[in-house]
Amino acid sequence: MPVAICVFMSANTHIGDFTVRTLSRRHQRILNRAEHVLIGLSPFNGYYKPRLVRDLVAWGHHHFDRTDVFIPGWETAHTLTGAGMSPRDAVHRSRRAAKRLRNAAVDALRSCGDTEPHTRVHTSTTLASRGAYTRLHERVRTEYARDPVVRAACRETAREALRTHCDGQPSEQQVDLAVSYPLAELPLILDSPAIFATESSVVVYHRELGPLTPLILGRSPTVWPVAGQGFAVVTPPPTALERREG
Amino acid sequence: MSRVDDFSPPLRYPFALGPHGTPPPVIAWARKHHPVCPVLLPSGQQVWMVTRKDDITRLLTQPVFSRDLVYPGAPRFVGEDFTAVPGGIFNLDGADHARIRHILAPHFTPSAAARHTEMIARHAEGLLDAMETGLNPADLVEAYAAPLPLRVSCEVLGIPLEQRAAYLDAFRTQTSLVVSAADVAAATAATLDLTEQIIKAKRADGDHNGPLGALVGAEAEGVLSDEELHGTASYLLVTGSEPLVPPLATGAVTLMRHPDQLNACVAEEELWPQAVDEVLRYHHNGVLGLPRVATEDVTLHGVRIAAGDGVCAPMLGATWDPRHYRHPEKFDIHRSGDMSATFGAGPHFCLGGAFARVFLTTAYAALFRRFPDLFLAVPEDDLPWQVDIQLIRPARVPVCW
Repeated sequence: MPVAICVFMSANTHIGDFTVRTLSRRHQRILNRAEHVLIGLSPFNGYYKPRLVRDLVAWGHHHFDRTDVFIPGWETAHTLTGAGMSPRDAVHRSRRAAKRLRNAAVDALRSCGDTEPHTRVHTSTTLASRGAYTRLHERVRTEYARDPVVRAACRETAREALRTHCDGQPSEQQVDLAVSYPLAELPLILDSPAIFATESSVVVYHRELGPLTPLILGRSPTVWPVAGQGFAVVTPPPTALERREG
Repeated sequence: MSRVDDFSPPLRYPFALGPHGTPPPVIAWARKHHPVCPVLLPSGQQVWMVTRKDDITRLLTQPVFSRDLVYPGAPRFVGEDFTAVPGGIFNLDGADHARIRHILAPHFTPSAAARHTEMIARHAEGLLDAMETGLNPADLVEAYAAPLPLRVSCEVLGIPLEQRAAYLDAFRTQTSLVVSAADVAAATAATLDLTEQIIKAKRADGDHNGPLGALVGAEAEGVLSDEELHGTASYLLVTGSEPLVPPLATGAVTLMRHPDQLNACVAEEELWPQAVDEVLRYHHNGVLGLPRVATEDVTLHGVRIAAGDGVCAPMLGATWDPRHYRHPEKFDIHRSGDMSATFGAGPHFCLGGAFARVFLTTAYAALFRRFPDLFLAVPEDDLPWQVDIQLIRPARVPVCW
């Protein structure tokens, strides 16, 4: 398995086709262990189309011992209410977006031969039945109130999310509303091995997490990723059209 | 979820829950195929589980099944929880139990419970004010279902909220199924420390009000021993608030899942007591029920329960017994029948039963009067049911209004 990943990581490979980029050698080593991958999907931006979800899940299934998928939970509604939408509309839109991602992920897992695909697709709500997740979530909420690094990372992430839904710079009050979303996802980049009961785990996403990068690299004095926590940016190969256009 | 044909005795506790916080399917299976079924506890000990309502009533009313687990090697879920505390009302039988119950009973009658209505409503409104001005959607557990029982219980028992809140982890550890026996014993010891602080303060103040004050006063008069005072007071601390969280949270979910019945209650508030009874039938706050121990050999359905064996009675076995409740899986606030079975039977019939009813009636009425259109902000299948504690409760209930 690890060999396949290494081959796979070189550019323009044929099997799996994705480009994988890590932020540090430690993350690279964890990636090469290939024990567990958590594929993060995000709503609203139209990036995670069913075909891409299917390919990503197939890639995970092929190269890692275990594959789980995370789709954002009810906290995404706070980004929408922060951007001015009514709570009722925000919840309905969030639920619809999550349902689309969930259906795509479940179909993808099923087509990989997974007989219990629903158990492999998670949200911040479903993970709250796991003590490891709720303890970490409580911890990051506490540190958000007193650690400037955590606070800045979460607020900037919330601000970025808000910018995609409203014109101009979001106000601090809007950020207050939307910050629950990064806080709900932070446990997954700090200790996904504990949450998924594995020694090592790589969280993959289609782009770097920008303002959360200092936390991924362990720059906070209060919360940092465990030894088995990895992060990688995974992007699909360019389409034939994109290749032609250079 | 487990399939029915997956089960075989001895069963391993904890059991997988049914959908939406409903009873573990294994209970119905055991009721049908093994009415006296061996169950392995997390402690490694084996107990018997009876699941038919008539058998449960026998178990709870016959003196041959004792509540006295205050001895080394007694059956425990994990470790020495409050069933190991000497002098606690929960752990006494016969005349000793009756003597202490007599002291507490006046504080838990239906009319005594009803006197708390205004206080419960005041705390409910305070929390709902904060919820209404906070984030929407919000987590109903964090905003309402978890803090309300604690605040109300502190008032009933006459103790400072901060003092008790600091010991919440100890209360939770005592009901956890994934901690070590040493952790449980330490949590029990911590609760006894808190009990000692509270009793000391009440003695110093000469405070004989409320159930804890009544115990302190009775001890001063020589009606109960110092050990009984501490054991029973610590029991009231453990059971006073956390066991009310599950029905408040789970019941709210079930009501939102049955909007016609919820709307009927909102339109006609006199229906709330019926709704509360049905919630309590449909969802007991725990699964297995703490063990009793046989004091002599008993044979039930051809199974020999030997003296010294532990026996558990899941109240959901009784309240979902189709011989007594037609289509028990149907949530129906208009149901008739024995609507007290969730509180047990016999001398240990739940002391707080009337209080729980008043509490839930007031709490649901306040919640849905404030937010009549409250709805789940996530698919109902996403709700996270805690699997690591004795109680059945969702860890979160995201709601919108």
